[in-house]
Amino acid sequence: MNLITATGLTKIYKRGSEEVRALDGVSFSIEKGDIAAVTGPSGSGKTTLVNIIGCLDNPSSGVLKIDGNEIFKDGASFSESELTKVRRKFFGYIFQKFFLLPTLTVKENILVPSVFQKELTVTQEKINEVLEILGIARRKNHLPYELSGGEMQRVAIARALINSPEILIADEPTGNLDSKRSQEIQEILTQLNKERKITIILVTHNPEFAKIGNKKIEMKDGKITVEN
Amino acid sequence: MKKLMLSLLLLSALCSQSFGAVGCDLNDPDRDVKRFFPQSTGYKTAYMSVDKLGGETLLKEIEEKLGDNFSGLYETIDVPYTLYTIYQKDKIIGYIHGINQKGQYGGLQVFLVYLPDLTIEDFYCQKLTSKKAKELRSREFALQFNGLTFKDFENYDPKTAQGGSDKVKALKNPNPQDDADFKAILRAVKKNLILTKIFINAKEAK
Amino acid sequence: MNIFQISYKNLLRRKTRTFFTVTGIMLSAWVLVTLLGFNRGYENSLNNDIDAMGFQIILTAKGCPYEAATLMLKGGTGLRYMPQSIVADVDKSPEVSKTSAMLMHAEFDPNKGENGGTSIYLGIDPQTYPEMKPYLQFQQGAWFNENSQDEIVLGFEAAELEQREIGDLMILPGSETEFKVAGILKRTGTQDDGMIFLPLKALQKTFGKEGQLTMLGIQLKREADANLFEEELYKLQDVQVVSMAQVKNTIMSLVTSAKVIVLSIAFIAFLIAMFGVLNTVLMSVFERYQEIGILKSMGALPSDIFKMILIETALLCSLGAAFGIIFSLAFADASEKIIRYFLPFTPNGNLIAIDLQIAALSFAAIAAIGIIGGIYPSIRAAQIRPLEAIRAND
Repeated sequence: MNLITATGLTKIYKRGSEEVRALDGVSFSIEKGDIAAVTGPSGSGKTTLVNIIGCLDNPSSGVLKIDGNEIFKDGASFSESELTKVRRKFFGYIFQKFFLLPTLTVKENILVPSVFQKELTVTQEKINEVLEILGIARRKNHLPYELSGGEMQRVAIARALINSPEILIADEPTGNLDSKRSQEIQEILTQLNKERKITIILVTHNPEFAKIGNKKIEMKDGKITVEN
Repeated sequence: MKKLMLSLLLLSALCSQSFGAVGCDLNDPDRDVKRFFPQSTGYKTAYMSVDKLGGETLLKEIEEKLGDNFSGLYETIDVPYTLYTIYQKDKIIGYIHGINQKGQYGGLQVFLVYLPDLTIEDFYCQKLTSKKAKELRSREFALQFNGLTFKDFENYDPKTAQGGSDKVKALKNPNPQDDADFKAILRAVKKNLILTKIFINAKEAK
Repeated sequence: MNIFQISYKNLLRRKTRTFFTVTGIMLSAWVLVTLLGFNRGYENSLNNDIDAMGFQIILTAKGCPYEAATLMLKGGTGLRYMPQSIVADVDKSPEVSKTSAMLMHAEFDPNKGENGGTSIYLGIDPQTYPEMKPYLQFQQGAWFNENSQDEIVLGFEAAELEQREIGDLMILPGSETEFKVAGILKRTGTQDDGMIFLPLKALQKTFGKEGQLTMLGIQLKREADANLFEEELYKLQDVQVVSMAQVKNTIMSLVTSAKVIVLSIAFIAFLIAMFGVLNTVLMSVFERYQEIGILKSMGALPSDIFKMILIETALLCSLGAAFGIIFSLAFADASEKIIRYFLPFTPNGNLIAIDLQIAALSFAAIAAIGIIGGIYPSIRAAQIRPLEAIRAND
């Protein structure tokens, strides 16, 4: 069953008088439980694509369906609040930069989404479970500056998991890590996918990392060149 | 406008804080110093009190010399005294010192004008409330004290008004039938002599 | 975890900046509370002082100096008199609660100083005067009794000058009559300290002023209209009316103009504090541009972000206002000293009266103004789009 279906997604930016087609009529589908690895050179439009999939941005035109719901249709712009509601329901995000709040402890950082999502109740078990999975239980009362880069990214992943999202958007999650830590993060993502059936959309330009994906989307100049 | 001024005056009187004058100062020191020492070129004012100079011990010593105790609401250890030292250029040519003394009908302010060796040069009762005020403030009465020193009063007993040198015994009360204020003046003179000596010593010691 | 905690911890991130912002707000709160306290305290004290005078109205003969200092300046001359019969006329008025007749007399005393001096005496009615001046307290003794003709009461300094204690005798210049000291007043800080009080009749007799008065103190009934009654009094011949209400109004109008100036300064301090808050919060919003974007990607609505930033602002302001109030209480005495130094007329008593109402009002005002300053940064923060924020990292 297709979890995400995109048809003719186009994103046009205006840069002065020049039009930039960051996405040029992209169509594809992702099934539930997939790890979709989006690769391609810089400026190929992969980040634009995942931002639209992740409802962080509106497409200029095209249709995006998530779990059967039409989120975007033919350039109808969504308001910030409406997008937020979709994001709350389906997505967790991790980025190259970890974006932890420096004044909050590990545990508090993980709980931040629950502060804004009233419908989300987080039990102690859930917190412990997430901390266990990511191997940061003993760090839960530490502040971000006391952690290593790998640990910070684990906290960011834990934070993305706290609302039990169906889809995890990971935009260059290992871009700031050495190869050993990258390996660990890769293993964690694979494990999450296997054990919890979380659909992962992974943006990377590391071909090794892309290998964990069962589905590959290669992009160039705003178009998909390979999809398998 | 007039009303406003009146109002302000009234209120300022209502509000202004005045500070007590327990001591004994010359009313117009510039004029008074010139009057007693026409040759003077200047004077210095020093404020002293028994309290600050020697406390209880000194008080005892003074009372012993005086032959009477300090008494009443106003004759206390912390009364400030004002000693005027008179100069002709750099030379000290005399002193003026006054003390308050309780009289029969009011306060007396008895000033003595001294030569540098502490011989009395003049006597001045700045303030006196008495039925015989006129006589006691007269020039004749004042002149009787000229030339007297502490020695003359050493054996004078203010309590009984007895004793003293022949010169002291010769001092004449203008109203023999009413001697309360006369006795008060003699006590004040003796006390003035004692204190002036102490104050000048203290000043020189500095 | 809640938004409040996130906001609170954000403030701890830049401790120095938070400290200075809070200090700025504190200073303006301090000024405001002190000013409001002064506003109330001054008027209260003035009212108390005027009430303590006992009389709401003083009636004097036209052109008569009724105040010791003026009398001294004039060398004891210029006193004018009203006939004692006026007391009966005034007493008849329904508005009058009590009257107290007084005779002020200045007598030349040749034995005061080198060339003589003036002594001032106040003849009072032993029956009514003490009641009208209940604040006068005695160091020794008490008022002379009602029918006494040979007793005297001395102000603190008068007693000191004359070296009198109770039981001592006194005579008045130019008279042989002996008076016995019945009481010595405590220091009041007013002209009463130098005053010598005698029974009215005794003073009139001693100085040949029988049937004459210089002043009549009038206490009105509580419900009486003072203004109307004053007009009434002017119908009497050759009198002047000095009313405490006028004195108070005059002083208050003087003080009001000073207050307007100071309040405008406080208002400017307020504006500065507000823009300080605006600037600080806006800076911290720009600094956290990405972070706020991420919060939105994690499900924060614009309204959540708006709330978060506004809570930060409110915290800053409340903290500043609270410290400002504490400071104004702690330094009320010092402020009072400064005010006393600068103002021409300051009544006795607490000049700065800070109560719960003033504290609450100031707190609310400062918090409100600070929060207004926080609205713009909050809106800016709420408008941050997560995508732009995340992109800003590239």
